[in-house]
Amino acid sequence: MALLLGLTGNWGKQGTGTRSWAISGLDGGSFMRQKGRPGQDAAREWVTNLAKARRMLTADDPTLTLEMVTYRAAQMAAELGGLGRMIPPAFLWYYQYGYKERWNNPDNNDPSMKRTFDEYLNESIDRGWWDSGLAKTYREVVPRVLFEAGGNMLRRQRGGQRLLLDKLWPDLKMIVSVDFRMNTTGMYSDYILPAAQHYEKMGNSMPSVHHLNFVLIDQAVDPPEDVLNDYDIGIGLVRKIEERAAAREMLQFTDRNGVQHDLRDITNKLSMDGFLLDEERRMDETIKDDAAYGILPPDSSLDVARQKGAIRWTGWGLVGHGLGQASTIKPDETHNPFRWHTEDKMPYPTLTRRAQFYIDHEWFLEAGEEFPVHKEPPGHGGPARQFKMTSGHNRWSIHSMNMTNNILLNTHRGEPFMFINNRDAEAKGIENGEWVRVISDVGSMQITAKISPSVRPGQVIVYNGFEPYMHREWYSQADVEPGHVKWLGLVGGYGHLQYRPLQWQPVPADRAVHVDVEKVS
Amino acid sequence: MGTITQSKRQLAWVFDLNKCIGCQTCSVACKVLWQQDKGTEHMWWMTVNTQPGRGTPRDYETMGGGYKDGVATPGKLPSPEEFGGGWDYNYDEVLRSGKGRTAHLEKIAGSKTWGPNWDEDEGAGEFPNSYFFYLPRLCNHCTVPGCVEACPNNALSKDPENGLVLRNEDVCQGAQMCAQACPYKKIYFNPSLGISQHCIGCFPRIEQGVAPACVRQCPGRAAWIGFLDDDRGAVSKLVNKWKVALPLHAEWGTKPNVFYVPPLAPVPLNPDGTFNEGGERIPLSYLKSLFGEQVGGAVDTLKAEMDKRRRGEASEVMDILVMYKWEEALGGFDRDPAEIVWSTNGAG
Repeated sequence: MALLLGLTGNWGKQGTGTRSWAISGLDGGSFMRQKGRPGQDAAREWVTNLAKARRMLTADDPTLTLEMVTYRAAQMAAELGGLGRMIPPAFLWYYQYGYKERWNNPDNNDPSMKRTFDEYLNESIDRGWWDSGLAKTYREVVPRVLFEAGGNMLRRQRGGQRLLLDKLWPDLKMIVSVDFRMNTTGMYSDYILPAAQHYEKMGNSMPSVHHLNFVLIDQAVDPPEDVLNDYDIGIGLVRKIEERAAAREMLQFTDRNGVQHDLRDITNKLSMDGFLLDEERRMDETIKDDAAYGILPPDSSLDVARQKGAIRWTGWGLVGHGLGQASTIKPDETHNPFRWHTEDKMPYPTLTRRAQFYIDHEWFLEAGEEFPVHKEPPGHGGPARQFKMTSGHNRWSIHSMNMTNNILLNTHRGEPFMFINNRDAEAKGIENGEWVRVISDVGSMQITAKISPSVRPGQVIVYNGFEPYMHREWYSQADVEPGHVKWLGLVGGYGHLQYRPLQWQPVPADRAVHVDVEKVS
Repeated sequence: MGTITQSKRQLAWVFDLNKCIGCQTCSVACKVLWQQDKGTEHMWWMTVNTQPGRGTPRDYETMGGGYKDGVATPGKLPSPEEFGGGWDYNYDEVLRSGKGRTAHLEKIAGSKTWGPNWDEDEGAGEFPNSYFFYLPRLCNHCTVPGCVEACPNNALSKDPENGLVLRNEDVCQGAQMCAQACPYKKIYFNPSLGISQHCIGCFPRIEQGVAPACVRQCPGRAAWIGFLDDDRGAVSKLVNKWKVALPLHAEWGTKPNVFYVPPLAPVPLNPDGTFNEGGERIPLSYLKSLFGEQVGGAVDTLKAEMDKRRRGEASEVMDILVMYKWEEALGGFDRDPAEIVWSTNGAG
């Protein structure tokens, strides 16, 4: 699709293109800690210094554009450990969660994969493509503590719970779930720290480029007893760490990258000597900083946001996934990405600095994927199985957010269901509403059948978000998905195809998993 | 039996079935506002169903009621099982009993076989020429409300100022004659209070200049409210001037005041995958069975007005249906409910 749009000149101008889902406008929150002290002078100083530092770090190449400088700086920060220790989780899954066998299984892979998955993975590590992603580290380091904050990995992990419960859980000394839901991961945790739901605290909706607005979500009601704002949960933990570090006289430590961390006075450091502890003041400061960074109009504040509800963005700030839109936000004009490239002729942040579809990396050439090409889905799940399972978002909740809420359950079947075509159901003798078993090579789940002629024959559709404990046996959609990763995702060291936090990395495919459907006797 | 006193003006709703995405926000807004007390577990005064479908209560279109040639014809009283839903769950057993994976979240109350939106997204036809659309339904606040006439206790009346069908719950004895008379089967029984209950058009909000929750909360800008005689309002223009919004089952004789802009659909595909340009995906005969003979004209008007806009010409109908500003949905009932201090009069 992108190739077609490119070839026909259908992007970077009004009325054209596709819109990727990207978030931006978060700099006020993202940079709160770095700016050091309250006030917008501090914000302006920080951002000026950041821009200078980025330019200095990339001074060897004066031709780099703002986008390129930003990406390269992010990459360098990852190498230096400056963005915290994010890792592409695929390496952890491979080395420690038991995915190695699945990813090497030829049934799961495209026939154009010439060598074993192991060989590709080892080569990518040996060539240093994933050094900044700590790929090597996760050959040796065994996780001991798991903190889940709103994640619910026992539902979401492509590849299913079984690998996690069999391979990861036994190593863990402590599992903590921070969530507003009582979810399946919470049921497997040592501690649950109940967090306030969206309307029980102050926040803002996802700053998406689809609407280009900062949207304030004000607190409507107090949270129930024992429930805290997630910020307060975090600060509570920091306070305790500080207290225990002092008691144990463990005031400093050096991490694996040689970076020294000081545990003294960390609550004050993280909260600007208590300035940020107040929720309203924190939100007001965030919004005012967003204005200082040029993301919101100059007079923006919590008061203005409360009055208007939504404030339209005026700029992207300095975060890469915002700048990647590469288009100036204009008042009363539809946003179209890439106008810097098409109208201002700014080079693209690719290897060739052009809109690049030809990838002459040796692995892409070997796979015949140097150009976008159609290939049949790989046989993951079991190539001979009758159906292909796809997913989608349900309409009555956002992802899994209120999936077990009694009121919302009453607006549909009130139990997890899978769409199947009427002719397919008839052939298998499956009744509407009946429990069935969905089977792949890696597992099975029980779910009810919902029969509709709008489903393509040979396809079954399971909306994402059903909580595992809503299913008999507690196995859900992810438990029949092998969580397969394509080997070409391991490519690095090639222009724009190299690791940066939250960007290019190996990710699992959950589309068109091959399954069988059987009646439950 | 009760007598129908005509009101001076009539409030009406319009729903654009091309814009309704079946998100259930209206249903939930209504449920949370009005039906949270004991005895209301199974009630959904506002529902959104997939058509073609059996709806709620199940097969309500076959249950009778309304008027035939101006004569009231009592219909069937739907059973709780036919309404469906009313589900509660074994949360305690799953989350707190320590039974682990041997207990999953299950219904422990309510219908075993049906729910208010049980046949969602099923529809009709055969792939790839299948079709369905969503139909939001609430009390029609009819101009000839069979329920008012059927009530043996005079508990129901039409509000003289706005035509909403209201119920005096102190007078209602739970005889349920209203529910038999209503052909739309939008009247529920509250076993805790021993009375019937139904949508009152968010009357306390209307009194304060606030639109009903179902309209105000609609994220799809698919719902309008307004007085039918307000010539400048969207409702009147869609219903009276342009005749693109039609009542559901007008043949049931109650003169309903909820109107629907009929759904359009892409043309069907031929067996070779090409477009069947002259074909109907949603059969016109099906639309006629819901909205009467006039639906053909409404569909033609919609298509013609859409074509105008495609040619860059002005179209009042399309401007209204697009709803550039959401306040246009509110028919002047645009006061912010958050500004009002609501008195509960100790009623909770």
